Amino acid sequence: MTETIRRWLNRRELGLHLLVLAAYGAAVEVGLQFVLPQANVSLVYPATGVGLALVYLLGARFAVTVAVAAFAARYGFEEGLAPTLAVAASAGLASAAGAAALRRFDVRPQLDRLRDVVVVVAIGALLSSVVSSGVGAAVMYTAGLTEWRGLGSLWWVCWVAEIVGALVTAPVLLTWSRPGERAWTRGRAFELVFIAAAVVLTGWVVYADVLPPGVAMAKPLSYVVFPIMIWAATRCISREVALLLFVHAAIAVAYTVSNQGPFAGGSLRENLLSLHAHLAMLSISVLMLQAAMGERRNAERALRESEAKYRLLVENQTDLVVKMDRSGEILFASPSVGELFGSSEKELVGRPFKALLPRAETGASPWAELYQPPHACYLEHPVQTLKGERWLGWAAKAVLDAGGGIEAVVAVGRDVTARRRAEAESRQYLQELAHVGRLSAMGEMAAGLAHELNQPLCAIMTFSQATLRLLDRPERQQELRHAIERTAANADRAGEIIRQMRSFVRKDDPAAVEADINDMVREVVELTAAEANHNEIQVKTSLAAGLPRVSAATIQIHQVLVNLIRNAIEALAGIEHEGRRVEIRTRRLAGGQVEVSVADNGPGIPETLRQELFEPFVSSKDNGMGLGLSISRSIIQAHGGELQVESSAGQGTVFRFDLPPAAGEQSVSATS
Amino acid sequence: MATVLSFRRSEDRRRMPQDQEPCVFVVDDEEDVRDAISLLVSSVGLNAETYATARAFLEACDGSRPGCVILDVRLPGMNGLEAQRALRERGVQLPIIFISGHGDIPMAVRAVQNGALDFLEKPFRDDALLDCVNRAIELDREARAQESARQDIEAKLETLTPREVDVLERLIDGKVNKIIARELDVSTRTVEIHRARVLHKMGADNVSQLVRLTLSTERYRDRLR
Repeated sequence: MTETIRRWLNRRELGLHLLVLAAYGAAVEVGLQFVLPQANVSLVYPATGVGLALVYLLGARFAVTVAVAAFAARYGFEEGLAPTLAVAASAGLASAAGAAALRRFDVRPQLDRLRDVVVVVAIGALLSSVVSSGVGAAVMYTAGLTEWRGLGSLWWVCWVAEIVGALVTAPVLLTWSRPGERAWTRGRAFELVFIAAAVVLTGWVVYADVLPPGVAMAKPLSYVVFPIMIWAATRCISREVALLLFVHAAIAVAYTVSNQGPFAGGSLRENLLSLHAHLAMLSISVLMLQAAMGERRNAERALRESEAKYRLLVENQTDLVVKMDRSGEILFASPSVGELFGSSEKELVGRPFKALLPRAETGASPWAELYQPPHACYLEHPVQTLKGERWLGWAAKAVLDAGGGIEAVVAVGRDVTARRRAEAESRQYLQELAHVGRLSAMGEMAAGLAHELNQPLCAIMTFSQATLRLLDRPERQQELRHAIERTAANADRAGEIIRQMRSFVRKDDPAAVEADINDMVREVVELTAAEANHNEIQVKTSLAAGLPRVSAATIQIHQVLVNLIRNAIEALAGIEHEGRRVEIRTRRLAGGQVEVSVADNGPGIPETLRQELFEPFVSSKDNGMGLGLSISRSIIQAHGGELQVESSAGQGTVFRFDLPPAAGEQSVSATS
Repeated sequence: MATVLSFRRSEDRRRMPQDQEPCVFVVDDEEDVRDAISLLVSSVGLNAETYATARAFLEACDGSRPGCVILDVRLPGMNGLEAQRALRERGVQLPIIFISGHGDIPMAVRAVQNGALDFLEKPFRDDALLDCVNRAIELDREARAQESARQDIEAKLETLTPREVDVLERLIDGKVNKIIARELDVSTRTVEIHRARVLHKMGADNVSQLVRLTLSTERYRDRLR
């Protein structure tokens, strides 16, 4: 297998070497057609350019092939073996040196970048031609083929011939080595044919002396090719331009050699040197111009591709993308925005972004965050859309200008209706569950509360009956006044107990309000006092002053506290020892949250039960549903806090939960 | 009102050893309940004393003062039933009326089995409480009167000589003078003299009254059987 591949490779390699041999040989042969008879110097020499291009394209090892080709082409002339070998070696060296330079600067063969053209002209072609012509001149001198006196001009002629040959041939080989990237249209093809025809025609007209001498304008006429070439450079790709230059040069050289055209009239040497100067200027200018155009085309294409890519991204997503200026006027809106609101992108542009928000939304406050690092904000709001009322969540980010001011704002919106609905449902579910929990707790507390209620009722009844009996005893006025005052006070107290009971079991009001946690603790301690008294358990509170207010659904926090305090009382009820007590503390945590802990000095919770304490339907009580702590934890989590337990056998149990401070609450806050 | 007035004016006071006004002791941890009961009781002319805990009441009360106790079942520290037991252990026989905010039937049954006079559920009607109080004070008065009479007879028994005691015991047994004389180996006349002295010392008009008085005492209660 590998053997066949190697053989194939070898065959391919061999073919390439033969190709280079033939091409270089042919180029030398062309050059030999233009040898100046008396000086033995070729006036048109494309071989150096061919060698440079082929060695660069195929690899450094082909420099040897070039040398071999040069030797083969020259052998048999009168120079002798040694000078021929030297010239051949110089040909190989020149192509290798030039190619190495091109490789060093990583030239793209397409020559569609300005730097590539500059490198090919000013380094590659220059180096190759200097090496080749220098060695050639030196060999001729050492071989005694030329005098020292004429050596300078000999070298000069050699060099000009070689560099112009390189400028004309190397670009053709380089550019045609790669596939052309061109979208063919009928118009383009016609244009190209027209340009090519124009080049050939002008070449013929200018150089073949077609025009009568009176009309011909001699040398300036040679500039006719410039506008055509500039046209080609702006409209055609590099390989076409290079080929046109080559064709034009070939026509010019052919006619000039036969002493026709604007550059005729002098000796062949003078004529060709003038023509070479003209061709060199033309080639360099046109190659650079087409490269500049190529760069622009490439940049445009990259921009188009990048724009198309991002446009594809923006236009084909379900998220809403809006860009607005600093005053909130829409600069861009993705098609998804139009679909949602039933208007086209064109209608949206120029309208205020606020138009996409609900009317109540002032738009001032939520965007304030954009003015401070990290210049981003997020808000959710309900809004009327074609699909009915939907909740949208907008993530906005400010685009800053150089001075750090807001230049524009990019907002990405998403339909969060499903999530909001799920959240609302789960909130609703928790509310209902919590209500059931409160009803159940109230049922369990009813006996204790009835007793609690009986005390003031008893006082009221007894006081008022005694008062009736003493009404006509003026000497006991003082006692009567006291009795009536106490009757009123006890009625008030009974009313308060009833109010708390009703408030505890009422169903509504899940809305969070700002509340003082200490007030809530005090109310719940009162609500559970009957049960604590009944079990002869002391309930102590140690409430920190200056706590920030919390944002809470007070009834639900009441429920959690009732649950924790009753659990603590129950934990203590079963045991007999002095100083059984429940202690409730409030304090402020380092993070700004408010923490409430409910501690008892009871027997503690067994490790096995502690693991699943917060699971629903887990209870250590015979008649417990096992929902209290599960509901409590859900309530606290819904408030953005956490309910935790610490317990060790014989040391008692501490339940603690934290609540975040209400928005806008500072560390130093007045408490009622 | 009439009953109370008649009670206060009754001649029984003469027979009370301590010669004291009856007092209603109110024990309840709720200040307003205490004050209200105290006021109600005072409206019918009775004295009242209030205590917040059972312990405070037990410290203050030695049972010497007549009256009754209104005792809350639920009290901090020592509860009402425990206080009842403590009073009985000390021999304090004051009638007890329990009051409670709980309609706690088993507890009420236990209280009454232990000798409580009544069990009232809070809130109660004034008539109900005052009836109970009056009944309790009357009971206490009677108990104290009986106790006083018994102590009187026993004191008289102490004044009898051994020979007179012998005669008395045989009279209780229903023996006639002749039999007694034979058993004691004395003359019938001597028995008659002893008998007359016993009747005189015991303040009895005849033998049947003597027997009744004697049998009411601790010492001779057994002879009834």
